[in-house]
Amino acid sequence: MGKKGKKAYQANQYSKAQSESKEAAGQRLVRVYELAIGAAQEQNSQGVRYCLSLLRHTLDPSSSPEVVLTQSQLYNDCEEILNNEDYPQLLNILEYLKGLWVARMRVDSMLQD
Amino acid sequence: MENLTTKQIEDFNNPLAFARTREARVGQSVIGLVENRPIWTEDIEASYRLILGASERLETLEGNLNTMLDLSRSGESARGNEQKIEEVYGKLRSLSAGFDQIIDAVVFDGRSVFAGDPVYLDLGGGARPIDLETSRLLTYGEDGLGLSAAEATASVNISYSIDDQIVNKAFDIVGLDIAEGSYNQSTDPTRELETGTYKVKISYEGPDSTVQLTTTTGAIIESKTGVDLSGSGREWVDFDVGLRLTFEMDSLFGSFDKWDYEGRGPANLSATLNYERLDGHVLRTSDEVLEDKIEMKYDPVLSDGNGKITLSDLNFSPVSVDKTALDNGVYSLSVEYKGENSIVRLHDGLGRLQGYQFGVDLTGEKTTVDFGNGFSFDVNNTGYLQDGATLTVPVEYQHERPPLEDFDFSEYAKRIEAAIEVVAGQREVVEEARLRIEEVNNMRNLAATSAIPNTAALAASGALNILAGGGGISNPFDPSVTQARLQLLGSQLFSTTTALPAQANQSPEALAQLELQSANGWLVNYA
Repeated sequence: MGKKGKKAYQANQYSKAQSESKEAAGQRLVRVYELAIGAAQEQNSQGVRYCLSLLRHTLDPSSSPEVVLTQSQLYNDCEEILNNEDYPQLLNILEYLKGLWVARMRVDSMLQD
Repeated sequence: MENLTTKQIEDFNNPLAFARTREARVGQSVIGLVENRPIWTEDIEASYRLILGASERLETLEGNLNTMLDLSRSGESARGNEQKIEEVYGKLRSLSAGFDQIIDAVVFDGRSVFAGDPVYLDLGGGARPIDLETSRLLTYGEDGLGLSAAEATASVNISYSIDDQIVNKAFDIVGLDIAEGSYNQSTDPTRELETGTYKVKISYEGPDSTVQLTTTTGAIIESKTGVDLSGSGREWVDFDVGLRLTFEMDSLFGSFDKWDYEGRGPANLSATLNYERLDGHVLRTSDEVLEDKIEMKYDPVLSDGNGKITLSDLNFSPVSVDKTALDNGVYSLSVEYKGENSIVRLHDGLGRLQGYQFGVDLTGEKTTVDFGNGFSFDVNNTGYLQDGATLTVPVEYQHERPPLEDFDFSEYAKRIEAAIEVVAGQREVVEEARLRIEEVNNMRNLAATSAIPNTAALAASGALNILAGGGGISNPFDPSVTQARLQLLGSQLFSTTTALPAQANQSPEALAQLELQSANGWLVNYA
């Protein structure tokens, strides 16, 4: 393999690793939503709060402040609903959020291919 | 401001001009007044109205302060020109009082926005209310701008109603008049009269007259007996309820003094008195307010084998129209006893005569000497007879000066500059609040139409506050707002390529811990 070929291979490997890393991060996010939904189905408010806490603390405003703001407000809403013990409403929102992120990841994956 | 006429200058500098109504008596707290009770607006519309009104008024206030600053500087350069100084001072009084009126007019729910109470602006559900950090912008009072002082005073008006005129006509006394009524600050403030209408009833018996203050229904509030209303001149009566009455007397007849009380009994006179508690609007630059004080350096006594002469009841008396008020300082008071023709003198520190009375009859038990320059005292004689002896004592006389006499325009200009900074700061605070309200409102409108908000919308709703607060202030939950947010998020996620890093940042370790807790039925606290 020549010098040029080696460089292209390295770049490709790096890109592949990045993509895998993004996908893994996305999967972890979806898993957190699944855990939150599971806790909500069990009507375990503490479990839902742990998940919401992790989601809230892993928001990063530097990449997309608009998304972070809306997400944060939605988590506030979730906590409010949790205080009211309106689990059907809570499940609705969590499922909707999970669905949005899954859809976004699919789009990312399609763009990658 | 245009130039003032002499009459206007006089009016502007009248101590009672620009006075504010005072409900509580001096030193009294208003019952039921809750200090620092916050002001809350009920919704975002009310918040916006409040902000717009405040913004407009603050602009006017800044203009007023700049005019005051120019005036104060012109006062600095008017040294020696008394009329100009009085004019500038009068204008400053007027403008600073107008400033307070504007502040009082910025109200929400009947309460002044800039009186120093906390103000919270509601932004509706989902947004943290704005804590509008307002300052107390009144020119007077603690934490105020320090451009004026509120000093307790009262307006006292004497008039004669129909019933007074009927009583007075029945006696037809000649040569006795109530010249004026005034606030007497040296009395016990806890007994101060309430704002209202009262009656003054005089029972004239020459040197042993009685002056009563009663309610309109006749209940006696205070009675002063042994008041000497005989002869000619001025006599004043101090009531403990914060009132001083000054009488003007003229003895016109040779056979009797004003009324033949010896032959016909006492004459009754009546007048109506209106008392109104006020806070005077005073401009001072000297923080040190002199307290009224007249005291002898020691208690002098002149004695012979028969008795002794002492001095007592040193008082501030009204200044006669033809005399100059005594300056503050230490004086030498001397009483040369010559029986019915005694001489009383008052010298200042340089030996200049400041008060003089001759032919004073000091043979009586108690004789009041009034120099007419604002100083009076009593001479008590318990049988002293020896002519020619003199009693001398140093007297310290300290009376509150009119504020204009100590007014420093340069110092006042500095205070105005400081006030301008405070008002400018408040304008910034209000402007920031206005922008935030507008942007929160814009964001809501965008959310409702599923459009994409910009970064300004993010700033408007205080993203950092919400994030840091982990939920912030609890607001009533509105499901329609949540639905709008979900739709908004849907738009946002597909309109940017950097959506994923905004949320997908859970580390494998954190997720593993969460999985473990889930498996354990969420019994372990998440760290």
